[in-house]
Amino acid sequence: MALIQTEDLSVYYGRQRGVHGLNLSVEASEVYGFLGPNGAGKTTTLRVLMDIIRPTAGRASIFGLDCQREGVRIRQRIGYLPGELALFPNLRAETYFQMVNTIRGDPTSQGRVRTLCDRLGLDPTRPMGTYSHGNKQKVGLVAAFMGQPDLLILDEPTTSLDPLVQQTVLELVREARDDGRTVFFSSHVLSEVQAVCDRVGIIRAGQIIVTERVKDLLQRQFHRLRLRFANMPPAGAFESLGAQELQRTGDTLTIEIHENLNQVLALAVHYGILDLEDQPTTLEDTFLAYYGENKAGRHA
Amino acid sequence: MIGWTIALCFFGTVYILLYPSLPAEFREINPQALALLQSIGMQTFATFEGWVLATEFNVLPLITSLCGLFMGIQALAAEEDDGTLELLASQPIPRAGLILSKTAALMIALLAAVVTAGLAAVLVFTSLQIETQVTAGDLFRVILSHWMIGFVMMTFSLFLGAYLPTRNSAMVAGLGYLLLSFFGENLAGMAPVLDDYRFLFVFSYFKRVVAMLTGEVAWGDISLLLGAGIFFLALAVISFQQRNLTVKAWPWQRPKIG
Repeated sequence: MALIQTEDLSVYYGRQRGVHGLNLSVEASEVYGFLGPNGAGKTTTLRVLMDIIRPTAGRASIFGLDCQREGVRIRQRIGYLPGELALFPNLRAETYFQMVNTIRGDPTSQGRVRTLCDRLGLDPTRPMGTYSHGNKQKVGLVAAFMGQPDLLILDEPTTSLDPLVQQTVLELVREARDDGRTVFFSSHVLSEVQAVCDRVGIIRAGQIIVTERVKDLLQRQFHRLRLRFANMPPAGAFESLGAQELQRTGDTLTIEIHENLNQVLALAVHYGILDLEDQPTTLEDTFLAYYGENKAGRHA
Repeated sequence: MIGWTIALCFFGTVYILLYPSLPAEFREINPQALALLQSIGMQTFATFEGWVLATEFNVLPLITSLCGLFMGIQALAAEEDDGTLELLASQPIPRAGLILSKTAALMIALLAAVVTAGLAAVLVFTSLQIETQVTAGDLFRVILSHWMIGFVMMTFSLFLGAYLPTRNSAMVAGLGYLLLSFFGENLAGMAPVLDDYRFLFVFSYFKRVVAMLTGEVAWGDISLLLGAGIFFLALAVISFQQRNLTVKAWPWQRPKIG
């Protein structure tokens, strides 16, 4: 049985859509990346799982327990990092950690708090109102990880962090998975999803449009090349190699290729290439390139 | 909370301190001749009890109820607006437990403030050795009774915070009722048309409670105030249990929860 399961989950705020008919399944001991643009319904989904928002229709369960009826039992086993993290400004971080430990009845995690603070570079003795955005995010991360919960629900965990600390967070996620714990995190950053996720689901307009294994996706990743020529090749010159022309302006040609990179580059040299730029593609681009928006509901 | 306690101590003692320095002529004025003053509760300045009932115990209930109102708004509506409520709601605590534990903490804080104000008043009263039939115990008991009106306004504002979408909407509704109730009760003596609405004003009931300084204990009004506080607390718990947090929606914009 899936660790996290939603069935036809819908949340509406008046006429405004949060999520609509969302079916999600996260297995135990995996890292599941939840990707989507702003307003797609990521945070709404996470808040339903935490019973902060109640579904309009459908149901959500974690550990086989209903998120609404048995929220307390569920939350006992979850570490949660909210997307819009707000902290008590007058409280010192160490006091906040003690408060969370007391609520959870876990006095043994003080040692882990120290280790986590050291790894993330956080001074927990200061009032939280004096912290930068990055340090506030670290407080949220320590609070989420310190109890070694069975499930971590992290909403954009690397937001506001510098690159080194982002790497530490990804290490923590990997360590959690290696310990047999499950991580469900929302993100819009391709590199971190590639780095740590086993599976990834794309949410768009309140619905999961596809779920895939990251390793399968990586094999399908494509290149979007911007080529500048001395002599512009004729239209369709690269089509025989499977490339698709996206744009042709002046001396510049933009193409998308999924295979035959060597042959495409050789042909470009033949036409007198002056400059080449490999434009970054997102995981969402990869998804949409393969499945398109109309091929919703595919799951791996 | 320290600020509110200081305010309570100030208004709880300043009128007692002023009493001995009132000019004899002023003390001898009998405001019963002045219908206007009489209508707002100023029966006489000739006695200490008349003086404090007309002044201190007109202002102190307003301060205490404002304190209760702001505490209740801060505990729920403001925390939701600030986002810190999401942190608490994501902990393994039932929602009813969350709101009840906050209420318990606020009740104790309010009690501490009122007790401090009462002790300060008693200290000033005994040091001035005022000639009156009122004892220090009577004075302390009446100041302590202010906890009740603070409790009612606190649970009322907790309910508003749980029911309405934002801190501002809860504050406007709570403050609006408080001022309407305060001025409504004070003006009712002058404008008989307001008499029919006095049952809506929390200060009407509390005025009879404060009158125990010189008369009988108004057990009926005390029970009613405590009952109202518990009623609003129950409404707050029910509203908080049912609503979506972090969603600033008016009740009619909220989804029917499946």
